[in-house]
Amino acid sequence: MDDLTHSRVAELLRQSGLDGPAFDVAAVAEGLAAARVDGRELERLLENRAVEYATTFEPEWR
Amino acid sequence: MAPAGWIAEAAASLRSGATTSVELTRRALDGIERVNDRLNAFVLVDRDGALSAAEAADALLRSGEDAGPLTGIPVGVKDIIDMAGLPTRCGSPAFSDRARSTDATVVTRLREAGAVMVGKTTTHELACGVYSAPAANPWDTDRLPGGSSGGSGAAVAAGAVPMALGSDTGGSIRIPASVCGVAGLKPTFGRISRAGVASLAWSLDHLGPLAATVSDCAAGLQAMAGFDAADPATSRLPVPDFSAWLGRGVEGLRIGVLADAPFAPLQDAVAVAFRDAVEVLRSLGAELLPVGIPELDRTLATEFAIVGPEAAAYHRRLLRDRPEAISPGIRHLFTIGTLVPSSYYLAGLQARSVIRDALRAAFEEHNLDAVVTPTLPATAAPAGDQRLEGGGVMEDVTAAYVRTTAPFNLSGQPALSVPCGFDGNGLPTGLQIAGRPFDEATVLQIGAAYESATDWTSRRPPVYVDAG
Repeated sequence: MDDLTHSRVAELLRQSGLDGPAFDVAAVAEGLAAARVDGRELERLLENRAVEYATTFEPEWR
Repeated sequence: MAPAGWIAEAAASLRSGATTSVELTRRALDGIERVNDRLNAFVLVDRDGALSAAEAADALLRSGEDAGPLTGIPVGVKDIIDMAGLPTRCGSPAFSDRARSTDATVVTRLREAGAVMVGKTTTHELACGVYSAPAANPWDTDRLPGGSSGGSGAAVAAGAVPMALGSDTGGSIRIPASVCGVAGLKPTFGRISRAGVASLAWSLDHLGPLAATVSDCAAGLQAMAGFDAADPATSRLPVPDFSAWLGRGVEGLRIGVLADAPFAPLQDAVAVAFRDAVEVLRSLGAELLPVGIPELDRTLATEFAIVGPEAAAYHRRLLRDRPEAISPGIRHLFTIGTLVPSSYYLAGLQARSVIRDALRAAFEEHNLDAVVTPTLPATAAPAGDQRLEGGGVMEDVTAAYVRTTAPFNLSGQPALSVPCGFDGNGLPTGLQIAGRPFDEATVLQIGAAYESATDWTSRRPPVYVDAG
């Protein structure tokens, strides 16, 4: 997700089978840029925490 | 004492012979017919199936057998939940009119408890949004009923049915409950089976009741809760008798008050109603203490990092083969969910654990029985508005509603919304009560005590039919 140029985003869409007029390349590029910002926010939250094994969710407090 | 509730009163009338299930069901069906042109709360009404089930419930009651308090009670079912013989359209033109061959587990359990399913309620498209168009809010039909279980909220608020089923991935039970002025319970993740229900994001999806009162929610939860091999996320923990907690009051309970972000900013009237609700609980003998959990400020980023990729994966064939059948905003979310790197999704799952652990630490540090928050920062927005104002800040309607409810989807804790006041436009607002995992009993106990001490649930919206 480093390269969010329209040509790269169009290529990503094609590779995922998502091409055609239903997909607005500019809007998708903008959405991916926003997700990148959110991702950085999450990285800051995760900094210095032991979360390596925290991808399986258990509702119970053990 | 907790208020008896619509269901308990109807159950008593059914057993005394003062009414019959056929009579109650006819009243519900007639009530739906009278309000549905204004509310669009139901997308499908199963008159014949409902009356047939009502006759069976009456025969059961006459025989002296008793399947419990839901016997003969009319219930609405959100249209993402399968009912045998009826289509599940998910609020989407992409889903066919083909009748489903089996009931979802929750429908089976409600039928076993004697409930009478009257039809399918309107959902926001693919359970992914807070507008639920064309459904409308009974307090002001120009305003949204919340979502995605908006039809269920509108149907209960309008008095057409005492209870309707909802699903909740980021607030979709509690949002309509708050803006429609009814009770709505998202139980603990794993308490109710989701087998036979269309998913939005499988690791965050919950099912639960929206109902006229807290005790009605308890009756619904009682019937639906418990392990189901068809949903591997369901818990094998025993299901307590929730009704036993309803009249216990809150004396001596320790309740944390969450008032920092994401529970701020708030519309002024919502802030006043929340402060007053806290004082009511204090006056009833609970110990209220301010609690700060800074990690919760990352709620929205975490929620959307999980919802996007999971929803995109669930709907991948639809997105690839018939993208034009998905409305542009939802299609965009699914497209982004398809393209983001796996590290983004995994960071969302890790952040979720951080949030859950932060909530657990707060409960343990302060020895809390529950926490309270405003359910939403705002009352019902005008149906066409994309942005709302709250506490001097303009924000996206969906983000505003989800930021206060999603923390408990991420943590999996049970969370109840009960009406706690009205704004200057006569629109209801809600108090959110969240408890320890699998301790719905305490959440319902607090909700029932609050409800008994106030009269918010006795107020009626302009669009109302008394189907009781």
